Amino acid sequence: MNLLDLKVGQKAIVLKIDGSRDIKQRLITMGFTKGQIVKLEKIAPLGDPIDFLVKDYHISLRKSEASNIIVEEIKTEK
Amino acid sequence: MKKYKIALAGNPNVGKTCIFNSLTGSNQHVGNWPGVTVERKEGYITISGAEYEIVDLPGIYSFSPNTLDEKISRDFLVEEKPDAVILVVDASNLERNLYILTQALELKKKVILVMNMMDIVRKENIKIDIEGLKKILGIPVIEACASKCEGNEEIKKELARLDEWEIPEFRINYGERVDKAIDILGDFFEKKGITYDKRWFAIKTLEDDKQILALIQGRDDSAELFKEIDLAKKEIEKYVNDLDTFFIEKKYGFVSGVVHECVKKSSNLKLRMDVTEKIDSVLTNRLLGIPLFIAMMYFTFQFVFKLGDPMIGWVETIIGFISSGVATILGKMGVPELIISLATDGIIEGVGSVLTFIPVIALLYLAIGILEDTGYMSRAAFVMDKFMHMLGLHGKSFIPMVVGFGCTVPGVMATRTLESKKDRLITILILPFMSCGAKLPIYALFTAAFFGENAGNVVFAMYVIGIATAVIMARLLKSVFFKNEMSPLIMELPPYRLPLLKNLMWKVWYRCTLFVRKAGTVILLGVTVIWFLGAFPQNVDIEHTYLAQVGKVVAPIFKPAGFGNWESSVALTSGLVAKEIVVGTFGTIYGLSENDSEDEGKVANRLRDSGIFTPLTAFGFMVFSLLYVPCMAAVGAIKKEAGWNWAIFATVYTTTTAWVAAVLIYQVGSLI
Repeated sequence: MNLLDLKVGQKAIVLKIDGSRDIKQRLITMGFTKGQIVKLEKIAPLGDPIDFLVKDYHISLRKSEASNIIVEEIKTEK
Repeated sequence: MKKYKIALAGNPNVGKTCIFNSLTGSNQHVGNWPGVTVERKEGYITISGAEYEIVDLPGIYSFSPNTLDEKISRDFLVEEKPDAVILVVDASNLERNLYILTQALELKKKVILVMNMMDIVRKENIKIDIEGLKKILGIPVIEACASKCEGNEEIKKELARLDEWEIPEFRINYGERVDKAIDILGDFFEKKGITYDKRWFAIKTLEDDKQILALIQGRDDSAELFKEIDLAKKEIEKYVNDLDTFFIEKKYGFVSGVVHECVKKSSNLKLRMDVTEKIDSVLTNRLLGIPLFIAMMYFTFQFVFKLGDPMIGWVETIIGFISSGVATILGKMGVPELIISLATDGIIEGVGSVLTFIPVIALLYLAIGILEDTGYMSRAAFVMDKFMHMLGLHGKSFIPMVVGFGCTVPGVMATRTLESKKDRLITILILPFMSCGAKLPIYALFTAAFFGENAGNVVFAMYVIGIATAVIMARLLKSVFFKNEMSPLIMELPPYRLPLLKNLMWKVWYRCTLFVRKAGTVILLGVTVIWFLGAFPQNVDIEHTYLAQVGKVVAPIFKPAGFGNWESSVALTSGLVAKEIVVGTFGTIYGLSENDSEDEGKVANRLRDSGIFTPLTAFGFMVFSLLYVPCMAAVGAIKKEAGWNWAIFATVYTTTTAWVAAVLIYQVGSLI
């Protein structure tokens, strides 16, 4: 699954990043490192872009960028 | 006197400019970076007899630049080789902020680490082991809180003892075998005469850094170098999966180790985030987000133009006063009337017409400053991005376009908030189509003369035609000039903060001074030329001045549009200086004073009676006025933001568009 498969409030762990070298390097620089926990915070009113919480920062990505980030869902204990 | 060059760098939104202002005070200078129109802010401080030039660099996330701003910072740090770097970080979030530090240290820079926002750290009860950080990193670490000027003296103290310490032998451990391959490659580069730090250079080539690869490409022995790089890559790829991201991952790994070692967060933290999330749950709400954004734009517009309008009146009064004062004084001194006319009607009134923009520009930058410093600007982009993206623009293009309805000049200047050059240029190029306030008098005159009861609808149609043209042109420009340019959206939404009045005032002040200096020179030239054309030959009717003769030469061009008379051409030509002058020119032609508003009705009557327009050609004339080249002040602003080539292009393509539209209206309208 990738980041687009998450629902609002859901958390996941980054497994790897696809895409061109450029986009990979940019996303990792912004904190989407392997093993990093990412939370989908909110979706813009028109459905794109999407805001994620990474390393205590809010980072917004367009869907086209977010789909490059392959993740594994974290099951919440509740 | 001993001189040092110091770079001030860091991530965006860490309070870097705040540190810069409190460090250098009023001793600042704003210039331009060579070759680009991003300004370079320098400040000077003198500490015990040595001068420190401090250069405030645009915020960066990494040394692999994606935007114009980032490239400037990277180039300054890498190529201009500052004596030291003051690196500002948000101490309340070192996890990501220290990443840029690892890059600076790898580049073998002398870094002074400034931990800003310590007030938040204390409030959130985060414990940072400063001594531990100093030991691990081997560099000075200073606690600061720029909004309270805390940390200034410590920074100065560290600058004073800059020569007393050496750059630490900093190495991130990439694993024994990878390190060995890097060192072999580095030694090879050194032998080949590469002057950058060899290890840094080697890593950059392995990461396929575009600028470094381009540098190698330009060498005679590039084939040999690339062969060696390939060898090293093959060696490393035996142990590493993805070389593109390996070095970044490792740096983050190092940072995470440092943070683990030196930072203890308590469990009840994130006060600030809580507030931010609460505000965001309203401002970026799925239902409320867009209405609130529109409301925000509406208030910004009202704030700038409603508040600015009376101030424009004051400036006009002052300029009128100066103008008549100068005329009287020069008259008493026996200066020839022609010179007096040049000085007053030409220069003072002309340049004055530019100065009247200042209140609006100051208010605009105040408003934009508040939107930016609070953090709302990136939310606006977040909310509007999809819609604007469909139009070929960017979420942030919206603000300049709204401002453009008031005046194109501040609109063009407001495009600075856009990161990508492509988005900036397209936004600048379509801005002249947003019907500015100065075009209203033209509509008022023509609708009064030709459209009677339908006046309101016709004026509204002008705005709609303007917006429609802008949207079509945005798509067209994108597909012609920027076909393959993708600008992804990877944008931080910073925490909401209260803006500092001091910072806002700095922004407003230096934008205004820049405006006066740059746009003023273009205008001065323009008004002088127009004045000469209108004043010579002397003592003849306006119909025989050079200006009218120019009008007669130009007139045939407008024949297909149905208004091929010299009066229209003169009016439109003078309108190049400022759109209000179009109306003034008709006033002069029909022998009425241009400033007397009571005469407007009379001008409208005479315009109708003169028979040079039909309602159809009047409509065409209005559309032409709407779309053709913006006034000289706007062209000046475009030149400043995008350079001469784009300014000339904007002039030509808007006028062509206007002409085509006017001709279409006349030709198609005549058939119906």
